[in-house]
Amino acid sequence: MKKSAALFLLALLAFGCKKDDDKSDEALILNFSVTAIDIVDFETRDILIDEEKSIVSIFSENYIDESEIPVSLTPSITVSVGASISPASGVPVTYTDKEEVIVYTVRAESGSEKTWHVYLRDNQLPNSDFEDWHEVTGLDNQTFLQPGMEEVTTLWTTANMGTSIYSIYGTIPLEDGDNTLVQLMTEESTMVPVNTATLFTGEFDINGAIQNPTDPEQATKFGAPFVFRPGAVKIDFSYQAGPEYIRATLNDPDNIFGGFNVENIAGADSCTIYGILEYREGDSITEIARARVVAGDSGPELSELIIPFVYESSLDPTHITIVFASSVNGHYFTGAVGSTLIIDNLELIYE
Amino acid sequence: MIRRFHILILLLSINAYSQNSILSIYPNLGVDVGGAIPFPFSDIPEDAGGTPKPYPTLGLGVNYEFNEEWSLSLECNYHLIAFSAKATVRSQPINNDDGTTVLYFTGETKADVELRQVEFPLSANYKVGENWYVIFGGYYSRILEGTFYTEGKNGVLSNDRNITDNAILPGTAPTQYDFNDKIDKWDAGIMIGYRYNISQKLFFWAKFHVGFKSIFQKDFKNIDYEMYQLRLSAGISYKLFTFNRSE
Repeated sequence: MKKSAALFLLALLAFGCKKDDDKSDEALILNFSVTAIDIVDFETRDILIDEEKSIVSIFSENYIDESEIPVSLTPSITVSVGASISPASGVPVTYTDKEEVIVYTVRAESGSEKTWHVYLRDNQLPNSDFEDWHEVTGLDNQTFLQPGMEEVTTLWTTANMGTSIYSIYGTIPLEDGDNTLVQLMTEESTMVPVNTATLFTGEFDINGAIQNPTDPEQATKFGAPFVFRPGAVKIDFSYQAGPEYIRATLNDPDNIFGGFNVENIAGADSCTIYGILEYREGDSITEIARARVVAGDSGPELSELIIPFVYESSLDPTHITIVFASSVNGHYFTGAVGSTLIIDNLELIYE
Repeated sequence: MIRRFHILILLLSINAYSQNSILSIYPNLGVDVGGAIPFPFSDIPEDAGGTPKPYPTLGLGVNYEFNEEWSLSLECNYHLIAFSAKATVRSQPINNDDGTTVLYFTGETKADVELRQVEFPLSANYKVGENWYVIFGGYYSRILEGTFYTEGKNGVLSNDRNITDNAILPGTAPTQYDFNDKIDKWDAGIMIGYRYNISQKLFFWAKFHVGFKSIFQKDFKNIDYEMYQLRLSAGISYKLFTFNRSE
């Protein structure tokens, strides 16, 4: 009887013990709030938590002036059950640059770790003066420059990674004294007759580019977190169309290796600049407003361009997409080699 | 209908224990293990490795006995030869369909290859023991469908061969390409093996096949070496119909 009881107890213990495999891998930030911040009259507009990208965006209701940097912020953070976070909830962190992103590490109950990036944002886009650039390594192992302070934190990207296989970098910084402009130039590669240069908020998906080489749009994941309703996009720009306007048509629409039929077409190349405000919830995307311009040759001098948003919804956005492209129909392999768009000083206007 | 069935039973059982059968027809059921290997062997990348995927083979054969020791077999077999291979390649050309090289890739690759083929092996069988035969002969295969799909990772991708020739790995470039259109429509080679008679009607066999030509078309230049079929097949056959010498 004693032996039976001991065996029963052993069985209970065996089943009662929680195996390591049962420990949760969940390393989410479930809730994030600001309990203290050393900005006078700071008011939180909204805080967006993007689980997929592991991003927290704290939006200040008011514009954060450079003079208020560095900023010390004390958050209250709730993470997944059994998980821990470092720096811990309640510990002040300091933004020493307006473009800086604070890195948090959430350690799940199972011990696996996930890195989260916490942005302090206002009603403008980070690096909208395009002064910050960082070096990245292309697919050809050569380095080139991309907009933003760091590859993992920048909200801006280009198609340079995709065209790096031809050692072509269509979007580059252009030094002008102390100022840095952005130059976007349509170029020709050994494989594709028209490679449009782009600059946009979002991510360039190299796997999408590799898997869908005949459809350049598959390489773009547009959008960055954003919660405001601006009235217009303001930008300094100049555009000079390339001399020969061409349309390259794939001989086989599904095969980039089948070559192109290139023909001259009437007219001249144009650039495009557009912004889209969206409300995203899961896979559902609702377009709230759009601002778009297609511009032809404007000469070499920079001029100010204001593109108003046309609203179709009263929703508050969760994302903004801003796109610059040196050839408006570049995704159809149509444009002029040499078409050059130069931009600077992006501003979202609220009057 | 019943009469036909009786005739079939009769045919199946005819000469079940005959020592004089001269012609027999038999179905084959077996398994293929193997794939294709680079040739010459010196061109095999140092870290290359392959994993064959076994698949069943099915077919029909006819055997003609000249005498007690010698016989000749002709078969028609369906094969699915599948394997995956890993290798680090350097400056693997990626061509346009017109043959012009547009890119080069240096990095880790994994290739998944499948060849669906109907094979016609002709073999001589020589009796070397009580129930043992040595098999040797050749085969011709018609490739019904061939796929050669490659994924590359941790590499360097460029239109400048100097860059990929001198690339320091690992890189960041992924790539994917296929040589499906470059698989040749036929293959031929030799085979050697043995056969063991389990009973009067049932026999086991194992054969080693070596291709004599590259699995790719002649104009294929994307890889520096050729690839030849190399595989082992083993299975059993059952003599459904046998015909006597007296017939």
